[in-house]
Amino acid sequence: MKSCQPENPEPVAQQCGCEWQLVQAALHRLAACNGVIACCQVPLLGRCVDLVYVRGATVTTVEFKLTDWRRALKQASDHRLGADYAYVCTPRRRISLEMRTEFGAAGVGLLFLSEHARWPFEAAVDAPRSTDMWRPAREGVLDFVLANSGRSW
Amino acid sequence: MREHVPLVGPHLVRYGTAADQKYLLDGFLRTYDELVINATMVAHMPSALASFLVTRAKNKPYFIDPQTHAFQHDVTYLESNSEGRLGEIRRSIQKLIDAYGEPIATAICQRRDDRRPVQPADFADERTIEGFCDRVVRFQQDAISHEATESDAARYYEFLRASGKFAHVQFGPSLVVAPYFYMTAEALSDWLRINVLLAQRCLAGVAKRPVGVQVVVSRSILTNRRARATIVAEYAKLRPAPAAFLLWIDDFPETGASEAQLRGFAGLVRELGAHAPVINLYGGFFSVALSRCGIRPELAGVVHGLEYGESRGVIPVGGGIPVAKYYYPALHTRLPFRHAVRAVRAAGGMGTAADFHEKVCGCRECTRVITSDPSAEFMDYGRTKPVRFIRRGVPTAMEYPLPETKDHSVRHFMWSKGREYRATMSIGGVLEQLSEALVLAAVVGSEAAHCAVWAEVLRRMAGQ
Repeated sequence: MKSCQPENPEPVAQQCGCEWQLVQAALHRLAACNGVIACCQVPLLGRCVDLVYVRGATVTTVEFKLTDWRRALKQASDHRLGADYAYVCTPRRRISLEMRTEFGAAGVGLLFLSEHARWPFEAAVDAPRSTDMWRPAREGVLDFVLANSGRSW
Repeated sequence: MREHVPLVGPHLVRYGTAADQKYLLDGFLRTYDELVINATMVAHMPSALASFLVTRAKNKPYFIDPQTHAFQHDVTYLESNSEGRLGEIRRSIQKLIDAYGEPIATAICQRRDDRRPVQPADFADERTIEGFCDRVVRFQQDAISHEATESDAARYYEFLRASGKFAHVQFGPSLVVAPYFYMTAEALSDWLRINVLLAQRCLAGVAKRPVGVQVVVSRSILTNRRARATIVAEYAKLRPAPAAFLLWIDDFPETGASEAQLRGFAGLVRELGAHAPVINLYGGFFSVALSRCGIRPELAGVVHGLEYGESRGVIPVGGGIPVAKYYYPALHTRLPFRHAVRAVRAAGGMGTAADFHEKVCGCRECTRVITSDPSAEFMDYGRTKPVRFIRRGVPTAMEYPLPETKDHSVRHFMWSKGREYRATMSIGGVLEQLSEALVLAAVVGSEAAHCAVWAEVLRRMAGQ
């Protein structure tokens, strides 16, 4: 279950006590990147995506999980219906062969939060372009992100 | 058997709320045979129901579920949650209490601190049972008829009758249901005895119409041979036999049932059916196939509600957050919309409208909604409104189906169910269709798992 501490976007990863803080940390840093529009808590065909960012013409979803990466993988797999790329983001960890295989099979990538770089993510497993994308769902995500980017809670 | 089951056909629909009306009228009227109406709704709006049944539903046959089991559970379920009446007995329930009288009136009394569920001991003496049965039966026979003969609208109904607009104006129910209470394997003996006494009293002549005996049991009884045998043995003693057994398995979605449970269900149908026809009060395609393929001809009817009513828990639970779902005809289940998208695509239904109608659904609603480009138009079954809010201190967003989304989905569901009940059906055809549908498991996962379970159970029972 997600719990929430007072907002404090930096520093990230190990210092972040909950997933919501990870989301906020990433959102905060994405907002400082030119040409990127980002939004958190984006509805997508019955799921709620932690973070979506749009860079150029590419829509990417990110599901954050401190533990239980399999659950995140299932959710992220559904995100592929409305995105070009779908990722799970966890604190830095060792990637087992089993984990790499399951991410590959699901068509989902794995991100770690970077500590110091401007761009908040480091790709540990690259996501392939979604083969599950459904145009109306992607348009819905895009519309929501454009309408709600920069909105603070 | 005293008389044949008084149903005009196997397809029964539960009329749950006034908002359901538009999905039961006009073109839909021809898709089903009979209505089942909750007593609380009758108590709440008898004149509106009389008008609905006679004029708008064109004299559609109906019977009333007296819902007497509602008084054996925690009384808080009977209390209002609305701000102005918090903790008071809900108005429709109070009207039922007034109509049914003792022993319910004393148990569910006005003083909140003294309220308690009704118990088997409350039916200890014969006079209590007689009085209670008489009142519950009278309520069903008279509540709507009274409106038609005594109310201000009576003259209008008389005019309709005289003008020949409705040749057989029928205000009374097709059958009356004996009072009943829920039974579990753990507490079987007490309520079983009372239920049989209540049913016997109604069958003994108090009812002016055919009598249905409602048997409401927990799922665990399905796989408990001893409990099943005990129940059947007691109901088999009823003389004369009832016109029908109305079977309700608590919270028993056929799509989530195990092989053992489905076999137990079919066994119970056969065992009760040896004494009177059986109507499944909350059933889905498995029940329809069981009956229509001739495996259980004793199953004379199957009732469903609008979309969500193919199973129901005895204890009322909150409705939860509404979710956009699409009844996928080949899978005979409502899929979360994202799964439906994948299933339609896998079936080859996202090409042209003709592809969709041939490979997914060609019901009236789908013909209306999907006209040229399914890959865009199918979204009409999944449009939602995002709502952002804080839950347990964490911001979140949910999607609520738009009213028009729900409207499309319910219409599609009702047309689809009409087709299921009327389709020519053979066991070979059903097994083949379920086997083909299993291909969709590759994209919808466990949402298709029931197809294999159903096929296995039907195959075994049909001896194939």
